[in-house]
Amino acid sequence: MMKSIFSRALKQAVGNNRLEQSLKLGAAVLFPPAVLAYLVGVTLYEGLKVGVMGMEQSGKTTLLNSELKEDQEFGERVSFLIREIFSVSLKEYQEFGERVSYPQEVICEALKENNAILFVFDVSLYLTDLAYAKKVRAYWDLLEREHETCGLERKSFSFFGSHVDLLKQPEEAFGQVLASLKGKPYEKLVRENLVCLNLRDKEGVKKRLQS
Amino acid sequence: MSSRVYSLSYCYTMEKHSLTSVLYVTSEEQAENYQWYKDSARIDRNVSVIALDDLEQLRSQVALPRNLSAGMVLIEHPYKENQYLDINQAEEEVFARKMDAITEIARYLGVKRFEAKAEYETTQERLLGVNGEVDYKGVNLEAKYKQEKSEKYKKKYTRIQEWPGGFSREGVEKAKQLLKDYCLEQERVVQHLIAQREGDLNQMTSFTETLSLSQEFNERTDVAFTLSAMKGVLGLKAGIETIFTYKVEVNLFLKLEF
Repeated sequence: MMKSIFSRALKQAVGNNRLEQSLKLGAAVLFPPAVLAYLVGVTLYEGLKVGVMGMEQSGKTTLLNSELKEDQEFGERVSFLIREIFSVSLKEYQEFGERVSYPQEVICEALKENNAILFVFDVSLYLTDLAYAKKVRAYWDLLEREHETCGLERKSFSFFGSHVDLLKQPEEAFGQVLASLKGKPYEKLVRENLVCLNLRDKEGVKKRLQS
Repeated sequence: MSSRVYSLSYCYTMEKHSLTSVLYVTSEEQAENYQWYKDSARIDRNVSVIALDDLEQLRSQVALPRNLSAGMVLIEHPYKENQYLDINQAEEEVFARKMDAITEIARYLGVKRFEAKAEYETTQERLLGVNGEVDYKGVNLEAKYKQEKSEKYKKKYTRIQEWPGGFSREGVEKAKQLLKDYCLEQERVVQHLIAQREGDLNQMTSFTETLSLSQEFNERTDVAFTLSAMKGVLGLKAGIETIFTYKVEVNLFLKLEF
């Protein structure tokens, strides 16, 4: 099901030759509509609300601050399509002396308010730092548990593994993440919606989107 | 009538391991994310929610039940250092060990005839307050169930033993050491008995008292009960919930002859 949604989103963007144009704009433009649609896992549409959450330093801000607006055509289109992006720094609650809101509350709110959830994590850290991986899996477990409790309807999820380029064998990242999910309650949710992509490798991205 | 157990009476003088008095065994993920729920603040700080794999790695430091699995609640043995008990079997073990300890102490004090009988007192339902405080509400058991409970405890924990007796200073010292070893220094009745025996130099001919058999077990189940603040998230098993929802008070009637 998710694949057909991807395909629709990609056909829409790639078919219009927009991906080609946006990739030519250079490193500043990392998230043209097709890439964003691919990451989010749904066709972009007017009023779509995407909740972006994830680990510290994983690329959430880069994603949110991507300079799409420099490209008038895409800037207008994207700001029109994605009316709200909800960003959560999941660790914040621990950094302040007093816990104002708990991650479960923040996630629950995000699930209620958004049509799609994009969880960003640093896949290079996930595969090398045990404590980091444990924390990421704890969030996935929470998302699996909460999406039925808090979400009014089933949401589109996407789990985006960033920083693939920092790995020695980036092509193996996807399989290694999947292997770490065996038997977990959230295995299906993550497996079906996992994307490991090096956004700086424009040729690679282009190939992925067109495949 | 309400109380919150903030610290349990420990007698261990050795450096303790870092585990708390109550452990909830769960998955790696839940051991991390349970604290991301607001209700986690209602769980007593003497409870650790710990991943099964992490606990298995502590086997060299603490004695644990042979088969561990997610969903188990373990309580620290009140009378044996570095030992944890499955809450399902804990009551029997804790009551029996307390009786054994008192019997042994009595023998060293020169008791000739030892008679101990458990007496069921009350059952109370535990209630968890908004801030994690534990309250109790009396439960009116039907006469039939009350009788059954009474019979059960009497049958299990009744003991009569006889020895040649005889007072000795070494015996009293040994009894004092046992009081420490069994972590019973908080037990007022036994402390009093030893003090009396030590002071009167074999003048006492009999000693009759009642002490709580269930106090230490109930202290730990009070703590474990606060896990019910997150029973839905943690998926507490119904059987375990029943164990810590009801506080059963059992006394031990002691009659000693010297």
